[in-house]
Amino acid sequence: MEEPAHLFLLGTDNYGRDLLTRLLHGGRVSMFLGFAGILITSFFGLLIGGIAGYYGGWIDNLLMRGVEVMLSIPSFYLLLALAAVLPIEMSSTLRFFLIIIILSFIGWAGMARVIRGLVLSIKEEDYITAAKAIGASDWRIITKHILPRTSTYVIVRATLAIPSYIIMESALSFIGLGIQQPEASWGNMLSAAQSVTKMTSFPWLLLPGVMIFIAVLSFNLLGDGLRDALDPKSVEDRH
Amino acid sequence: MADNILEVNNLKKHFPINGGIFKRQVNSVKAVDGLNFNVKRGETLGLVGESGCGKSTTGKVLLRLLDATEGEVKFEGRDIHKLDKKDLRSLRKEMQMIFQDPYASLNPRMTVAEIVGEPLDIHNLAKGKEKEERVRELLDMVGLSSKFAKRYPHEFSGGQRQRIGIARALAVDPEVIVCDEPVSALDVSIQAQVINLMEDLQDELGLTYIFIAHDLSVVRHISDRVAVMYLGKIVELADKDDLYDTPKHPYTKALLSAIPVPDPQRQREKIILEGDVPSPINPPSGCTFHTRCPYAEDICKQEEPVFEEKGEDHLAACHFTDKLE
Repeated sequence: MEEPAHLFLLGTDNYGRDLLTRLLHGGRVSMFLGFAGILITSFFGLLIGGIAGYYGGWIDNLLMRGVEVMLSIPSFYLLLALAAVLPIEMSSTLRFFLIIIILSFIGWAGMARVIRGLVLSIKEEDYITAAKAIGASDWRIITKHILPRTSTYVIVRATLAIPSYIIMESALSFIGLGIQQPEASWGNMLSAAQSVTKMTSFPWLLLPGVMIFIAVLSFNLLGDGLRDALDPKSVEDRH
Repeated sequence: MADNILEVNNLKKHFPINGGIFKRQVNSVKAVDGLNFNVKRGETLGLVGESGCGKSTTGKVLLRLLDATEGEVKFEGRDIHKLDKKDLRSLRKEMQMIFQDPYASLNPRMTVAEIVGEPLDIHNLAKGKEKEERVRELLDMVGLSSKFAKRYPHEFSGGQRQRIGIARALAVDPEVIVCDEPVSALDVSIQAQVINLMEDLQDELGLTYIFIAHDLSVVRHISDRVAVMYLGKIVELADKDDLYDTPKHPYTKALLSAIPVPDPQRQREKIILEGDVPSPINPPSGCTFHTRCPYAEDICKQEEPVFEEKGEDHLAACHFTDKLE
């Protein structure tokens, strides 16, 4: 190796930037985005679904009609519209957080709807009546007795949704609305490998895709583990 | 009357049926349709009847887990259906409930200690060490080892779960417990254990029970007085021996004749009621039982019989009580 040269373990991109470094940096962005997105989505999904399902009546009607409005807008166009109203001259951190908010804004409606359905069936169970007879407040019943029962669903959905958030961000970046160069995210790195020629000549540009794949797989395994850990029935040797 | 802990006057619970384009109320299910009875302090009042006669709804309305459509439930002189939120909360300390299905009545995600300790948290009755101690005491009272405290409901049998449910109800030190078919989901041998436990607790703590069941033998065993319900109304209410020996309502008589007797030699007259229980949406006119009653005459279709004394402390609603003997 000649003296001024550097060691690029995974090669470089078309600007000569080290791919490994950018992968590691972009990973932080992509993973945080997915994680924060699903946290916010789950929070609003649980809250709104829980309230709608538990109280029923006009509250339920109002919230669910709102959900339907959200669901009736094709999500990708909603994403486009929301991203398009963002001013171009924005600091990348601000842009980053706005993207998280946009992603969660799209996700909560579907979640709220399913949670509402689960709550409707759970709230008919005897132990909810028992909690009422004890004098538990509505808030306590919703948060301590009803929503924990939906955790299996929430975890499975969250672990499946994190990857889709990463990919949605890629899509945004791909059309130039997500994380902007020179900041790295797996999505905008992948957009460098847009043509067959590039893929065949510089196959290492596809590595961000491999990383997304690994992240997706890991999150699914994490979800399985988490679900088992939270289910009292799967714990055998507690005593 | 001496010491009535609970007085129920003209209690009604109608569930609306909505229909049409504008969701107007088109009719209603008259699940509970005018109940009048008192419960004395320290007694066990049995409440029996067929499925769908409104027993369980009555239990829930008594605790105001459902709001009454009409009428009042007075606990120690105060109408609980007029209490505000705060007073209702403190009422929860006085009246508790035990449920039929021991599998559905415990939150599967909470440990026994959490389930039994929850009422203590809600009413700020005990904290920390004191709470642990109280939970242990409660488990001990219902005959469960305190080493079970860290376990989850699915690790227990039906009978043990029912004991956990009883411990939860006892946590707030209530006066009245509404027992909604507490043993009908259990094996016969376990039923006896749970019933004996409930009787012991009653002696020890001076509890008043309202015992809802459809098993007449169990009710006879545990009750002091028994009320028989038919289509949302009480048709007969009397001291248990009185009621079982000399029923004053044809429905009670028919029910009693259906109790199996463990003696194959004994001949007995079984009264088989014809037809089904009429719909509580459109209950029959006059006496609601006239459609199935072997003694029914014209007057039964037109006039509703008064629920009145037919003997000493023996109330019944029938035009032809005398014919029964």
